Amino acid sequence: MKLNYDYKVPSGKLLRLALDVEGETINSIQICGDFFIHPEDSICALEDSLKGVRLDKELMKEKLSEAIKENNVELFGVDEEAIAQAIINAVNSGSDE
Amino acid sequence: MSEQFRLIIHDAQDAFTNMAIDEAIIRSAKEIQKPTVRLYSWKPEAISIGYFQSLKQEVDIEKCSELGVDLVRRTTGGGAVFHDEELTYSFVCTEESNIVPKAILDSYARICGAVVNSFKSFGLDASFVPINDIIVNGKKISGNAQTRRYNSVLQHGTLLLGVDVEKMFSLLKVPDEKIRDKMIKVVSERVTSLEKELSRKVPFAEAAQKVKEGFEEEFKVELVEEPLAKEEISLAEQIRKEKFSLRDWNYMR
Repeated sequence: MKLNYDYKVPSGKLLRLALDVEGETINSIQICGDFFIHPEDSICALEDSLKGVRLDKELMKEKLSEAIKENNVELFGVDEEAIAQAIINAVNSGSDE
Repeated sequence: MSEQFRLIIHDAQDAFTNMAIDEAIIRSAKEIQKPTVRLYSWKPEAISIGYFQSLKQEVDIEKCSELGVDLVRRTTGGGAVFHDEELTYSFVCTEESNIVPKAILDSYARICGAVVNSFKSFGLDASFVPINDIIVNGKKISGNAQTRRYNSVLQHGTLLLGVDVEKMFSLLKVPDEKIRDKMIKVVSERVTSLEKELSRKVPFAEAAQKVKEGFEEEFKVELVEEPLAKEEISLAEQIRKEKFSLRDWNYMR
């Protein structure tokens, strides 16, 4: 199931997800938006960390936190909580595209 | 004698050249050995999008190509910007120079401090609003974005000389078409420009002088106008050709 979902991060930026979900698992995800992530290329590591991960908010946050730590990532206007919440919302909204 | 920064003032150039020059400067920062402030504008008009944005999602690509508006992805995060009546600055220094704080948010505040000074010298009550905005009378007048690469800091940002929100929204997509008119109204109320605040047109050269002084005041230095080094010019040409003018780069996300 392919999903597109916009999520305004509370007191942060606009997160725009393109998500491919199979059953209870994330196939792939693209995380777009007007936030800041340093270093910029580490966005791929964040996206990769969610591949094959079950749609469980705590689990997704954990995977993201690991990738953030491993790659010395700093995020402004978005965080792992917001990304995980946006994914949950996207799946719940279930609007096909 | 006070310390010197290099000041580069450019005529209006296309979006790909502008982004390529900023990258050439940060890649050369170690060799150049002093911080650089570059002031520039855009011809033709252009939209730059943040590193993490999707071009197709943010921009009406067909409309832009019809009107000859350049589209370019920045190396910095942040949002889509319509570059029209504007002075754009870029600031580059090495991290080891310790000219700006190591902490990214603190360094935004420091560099934006120079831009705030510039607005203040126009008599405007400007202030920095984290993460990356400068406001006057509660309205945004400058957006800023930073990257750290090549052990150096690059921050670029805008000073709005004028603003045409309707035109901007004719080129940008809105997340929800049903509320396009409302968004135009809301953004019009939240964005301002030097022209609006001062009730007169401010020429680029006048704004450039104020920004020069704003940096001098903030960093207690003298800005000395110089051309780009030959190596920077050829590097910029190469970066323009191999990165910013390429579909692969601009449509990456």
